[in-house]
Amino acid sequence: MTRDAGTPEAGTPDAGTDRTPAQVDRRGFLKVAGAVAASTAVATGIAARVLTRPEPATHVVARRHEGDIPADHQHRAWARAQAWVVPLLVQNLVAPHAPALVIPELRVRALHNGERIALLVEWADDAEDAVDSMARFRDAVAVQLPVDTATTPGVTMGAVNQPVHIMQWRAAWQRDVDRGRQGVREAFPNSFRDAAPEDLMGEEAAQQFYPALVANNPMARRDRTSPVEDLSAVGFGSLTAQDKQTATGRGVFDRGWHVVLSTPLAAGEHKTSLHPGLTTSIAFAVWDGGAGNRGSRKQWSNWTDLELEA
Amino acid sequence: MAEVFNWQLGREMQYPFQAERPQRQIAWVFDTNKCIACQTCTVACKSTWTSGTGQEYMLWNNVETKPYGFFPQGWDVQLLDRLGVVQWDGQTYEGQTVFESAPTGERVNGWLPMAEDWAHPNVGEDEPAGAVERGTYIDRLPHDTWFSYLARICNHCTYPACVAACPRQAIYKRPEDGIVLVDQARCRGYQECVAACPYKKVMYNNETRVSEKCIACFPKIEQGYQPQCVTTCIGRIRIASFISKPDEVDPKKPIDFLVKVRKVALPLYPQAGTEPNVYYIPPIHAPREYLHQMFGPGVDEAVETYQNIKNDPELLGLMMLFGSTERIMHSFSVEGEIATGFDEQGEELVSVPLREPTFIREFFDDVHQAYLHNIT
Ligand code: SF4
Ligand code: SF4
Repeated sequence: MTRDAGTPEAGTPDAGTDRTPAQVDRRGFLKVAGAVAASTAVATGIAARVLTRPEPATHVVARRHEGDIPADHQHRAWARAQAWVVPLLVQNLVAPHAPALVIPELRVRALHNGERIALLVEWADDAEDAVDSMARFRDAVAVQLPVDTATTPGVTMGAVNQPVHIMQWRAAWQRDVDRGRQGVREAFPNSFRDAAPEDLMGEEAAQQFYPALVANNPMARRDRTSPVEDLSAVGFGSLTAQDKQTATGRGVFDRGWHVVLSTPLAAGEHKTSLHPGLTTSIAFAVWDGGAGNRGSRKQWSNWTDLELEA
Repeated sequence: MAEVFNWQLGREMQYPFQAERPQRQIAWVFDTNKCIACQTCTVACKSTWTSGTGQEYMLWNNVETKPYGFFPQGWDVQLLDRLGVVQWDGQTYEGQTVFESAPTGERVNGWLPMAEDWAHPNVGEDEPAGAVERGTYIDRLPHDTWFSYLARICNHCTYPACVAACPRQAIYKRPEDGIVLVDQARCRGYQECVAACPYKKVMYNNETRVSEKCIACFPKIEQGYQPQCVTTCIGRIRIASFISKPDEVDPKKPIDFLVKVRKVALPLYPQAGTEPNVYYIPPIHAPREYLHQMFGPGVDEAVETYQNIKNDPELLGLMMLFGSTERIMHSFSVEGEIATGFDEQGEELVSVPLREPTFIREFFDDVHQAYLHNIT
């Protein structure tokens, strides 16, 4: 990916667009330092930096929007929302690490209409990686919110007793939604194969040939309607799909990704409940499939404040 | 990292978890000398478990010709390259394992094969290690010109690299029998296990987008039966049963007898450090250097013991019991000219003679006025 490939910014009040990843608002790290024993050394280093170079608070403000929030990132409603640049760090706290910082920053805008909140997350990337197959990984982005909005859990995807609500969008799921379930035929269009089990015996009987489908693994879903998955986590490695899926969204590739993720303010049990006037925390993670990013091999952000306009 | 004991390396080693040995461990012995590369095992496995869409390329069981065959491409060359020249001091491994040599930020020293690497499952089949000259006559061991067959399944390792690599603990080793499984509900398709397994025995399902691997036919093992690849083997090269813990040995148990008493069966690339539970009787006709590299320091003793089998009725009897029953043989005995296998309760499963009776026909058939060939 290249850093400068165009994300739309003309005419938008982009505070802090010239900031580099090193100048992150890292005060949030101090808030959570106690929760993350492993990052003590990091936090200490940052404390010194905060003392010598105070930075103005930056945060994401979700503007109030009348009516349905557009899933189209080019809709003018989005231009009216302020974009905040979220600097990213390479995930190197737990192995396996991402080898390099390939996506240095995200640009985030937010809108809410009293019923739902939507985030437009954009980043530059020169290749669209939307195929999930052997040794091939897809681009993706995730938004993380604390389930208890009064707290700021560990940046480590929450912690025991500090659950987080995560919404992940994957480029491969977007293709499933746009073009129908993608599988081996799409990954290897020139390969030859016998008739698929479902063609021979119908969808239901054919399930036995798809072990992960029988096990109800959401990865194997053949009827995906949303490219965004609702998950919960209580620390690294604990990510689990929510029983009730309520997040929606849409991602479009145009010299980079433009992804809208949307969730009800009252999202339900085990998820984050938001309301107008609330300020809570939000964090992000992004994957460049072409660089081998997947799972813990990712770019991630610190917590930033998220404010919902009253 | 935790310190664990790997008996195949003769030392403690570093492993990401404090791993406890299972209550019992399923293990296999394959006699490479008897394999004919018919691939019946491969087909038995394929038609039982991996005939779905997305599993086209998957061969949980494969049989490759050494030295030029591999599935996926160059898996063993990659492993050897990563671990460097093997260093043994007697029975103790002096080099580093795939865990100990993991670079910063990685849990295992691994690599992820590309799709093309899985595209030629039987590459190198029957290709000898050198040119066969016109008139070549091979009259000594090891052979100057050679190839040999290596049947491979997941090793259901004691210290699995696949388990170590998964950042979300979606792979687990069953305490009741040591079988290693990918939780089909929990895997999110990161393929870290595929990259980590030194034997490349975890494979990614292109349709369901999660990883899958050999399940040791656990529904059969739970019922007291040996896996499909064992019971279908034409060459009767295989046996599956339970192996005792490193500090225990029961000479009546078939695997213990072969691995610990006669020491005729050896782990494949033990230097990887996973403590694999498939043991091989090395091909006696292959060059010794090659065998040392593959099976470690026990090779000379194993080959010698195997070559002396006609004077070793117990070993001969047990080898004759290979492929003689579908049930798991928990113990065996040899009395006189008869070898007998028993189930867990000590009930007889099968008895076989140490030597098959032979009948030699007259060279000339008077009735039909024809010369006859003798066949076995
Ligand atoms: S052989 Fe590979 S897949 Fe099988 S248990 Fe060992 S490390 Fe895991
Ligand atoms: S069935 Fe037996 S003899 Fe045939 S290839 Fe497999 S292991 Fe070898």
